[in-house]
Amino acid sequence: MIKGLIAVALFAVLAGLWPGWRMPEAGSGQAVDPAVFIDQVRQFAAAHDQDGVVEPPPGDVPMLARRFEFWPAVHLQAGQTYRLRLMAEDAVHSVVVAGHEMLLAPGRVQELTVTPQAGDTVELRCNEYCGLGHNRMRLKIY
Amino acid sequence: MDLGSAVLKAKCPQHERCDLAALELRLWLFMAVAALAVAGALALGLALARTPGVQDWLPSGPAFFHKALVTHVVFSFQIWLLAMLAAASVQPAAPRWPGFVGFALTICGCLALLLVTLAGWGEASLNNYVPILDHPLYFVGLALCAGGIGGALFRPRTGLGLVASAYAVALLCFALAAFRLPSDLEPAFRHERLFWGGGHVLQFVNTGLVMWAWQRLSGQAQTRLSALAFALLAVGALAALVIEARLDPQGLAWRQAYTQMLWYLLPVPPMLLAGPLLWRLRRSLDWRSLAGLALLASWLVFALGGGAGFALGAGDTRTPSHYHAMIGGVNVALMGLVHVVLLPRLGRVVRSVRLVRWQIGLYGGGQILHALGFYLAGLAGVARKTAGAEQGLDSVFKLVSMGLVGIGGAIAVLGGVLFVGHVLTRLVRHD
Repeated sequence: MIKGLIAVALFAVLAGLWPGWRMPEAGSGQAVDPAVFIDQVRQFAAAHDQDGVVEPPPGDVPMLARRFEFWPAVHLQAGQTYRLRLMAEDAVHSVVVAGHEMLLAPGRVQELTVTPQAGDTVELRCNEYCGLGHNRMRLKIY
Repeated sequence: MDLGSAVLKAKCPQHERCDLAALELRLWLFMAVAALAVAGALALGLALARTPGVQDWLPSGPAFFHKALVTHVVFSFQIWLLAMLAAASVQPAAPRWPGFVGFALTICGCLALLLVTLAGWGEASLNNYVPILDHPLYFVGLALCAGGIGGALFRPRTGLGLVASAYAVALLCFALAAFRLPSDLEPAFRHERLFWGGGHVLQFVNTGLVMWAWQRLSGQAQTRLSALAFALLAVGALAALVIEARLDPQGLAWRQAYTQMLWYLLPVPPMLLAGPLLWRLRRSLDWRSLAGLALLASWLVFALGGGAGFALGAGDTRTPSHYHAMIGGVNVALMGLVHVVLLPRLGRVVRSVRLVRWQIGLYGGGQILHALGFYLAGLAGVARKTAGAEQGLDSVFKLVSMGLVGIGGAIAVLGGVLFVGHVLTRLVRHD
């Protein structure tokens, strides 16, 4: 009986201390028509393609996450601010940048603002297991 | 029939009961060590699957690489540790039939896993904790193993009640995930989420097992502090039920909450047990004895892995440094437990202390080098789970660090092979 009470008390203390207990569910992003968004990304990539590398102007950059790449392979400029708009094309993926993570699902667009600074390395990385090539799914954008 | 139970017989007036206990212990030990042998054979299969010419003769051609890798991980990590847990649960006072039924179920499960692997059935999924081959029989095999181990653990008078409760929570998490995740989810995502929660809780079970091993190796009786450590461990595992109740298993918060659970709730119990043990043993234990050496190696490797766990990077080799060292710390303690406690209980004492001392030293030392190399390479920015040119070994520091990984790994494998060979020989042959 006493052991049981001690266990319950310990559990209550841990409950108070543990932040995982109170984590809010992150937003899943803006709902879009997947076909329309994919088409938008293709047009954007074609418009800013410079010899195989997409160098977008500051502002919105639509991108796709798909097995096992982030597409298009963009290259950003230092000191400029970009709003990456990402959607998963084929399955659930995620994107991690500088320790911050968002889940990516087909039909939902997540937004991420980055301002690369000289000397930084900015890499997009998938952190949700998505298949045998999952560990290759990373893209250095600056 | 001679079951090698001389020591148990001497302690137990009901000889028949103790004979059965010795038989059960021997069976579980055999399964645990055979699981390592099978994992080793599959590791050889991994090499063959990458060998031009040979790979076409394998059951599923070059795709055998990932299939063999899946079952290699399942046997070297899950089956070995859980069979050791079942072996730890064999006590003369505990009822026998659940143990034997559990053993039969687990053997059937292991055979199913091997059949699917060797037949080349199902696609490989390298999801975290319990990678799988996506074939119904593979899931049946895993369920049989989980149930079989449960048979051994969920019986009275094993002395492992709190660890068993953590195991029950893990099984419940697997069942809840299977129930809550829609069957039409994309397979890779579904497999990852199916085994994520329960896989995390199984780390509480593994920690409970190594704590039990430390206690036995130290030869110290249980104290209030050690009892509190086990109670905290069981209480920590229960937190998984709150995650399940509060969060969506398809969400990001659910996944991250389990990671947080290991960060905040898992480190205290082993420290609470090991700290006072180390203090009490500082003068009395002979650190050159097999028990002392196994404890020392386990604590060193475990501390290295634990420290690395609090200083991880993002996507670099500091992560494998952490988990290789944690598993290595558990394994070396269990190896010591087999040599010092379990084999002698079967009347099969170590014949060459020198050989076993080398074995523990090689495995423990190799794991330290292996984990240290991974950590240093991670600090220099080497990405995890990459090979060849992808690793980007463009500096001497990175090259030396990854060289240390290779050398340490080879030394640890040598220690592991010595362990498997020696223990299987002792289990099969009698003096």
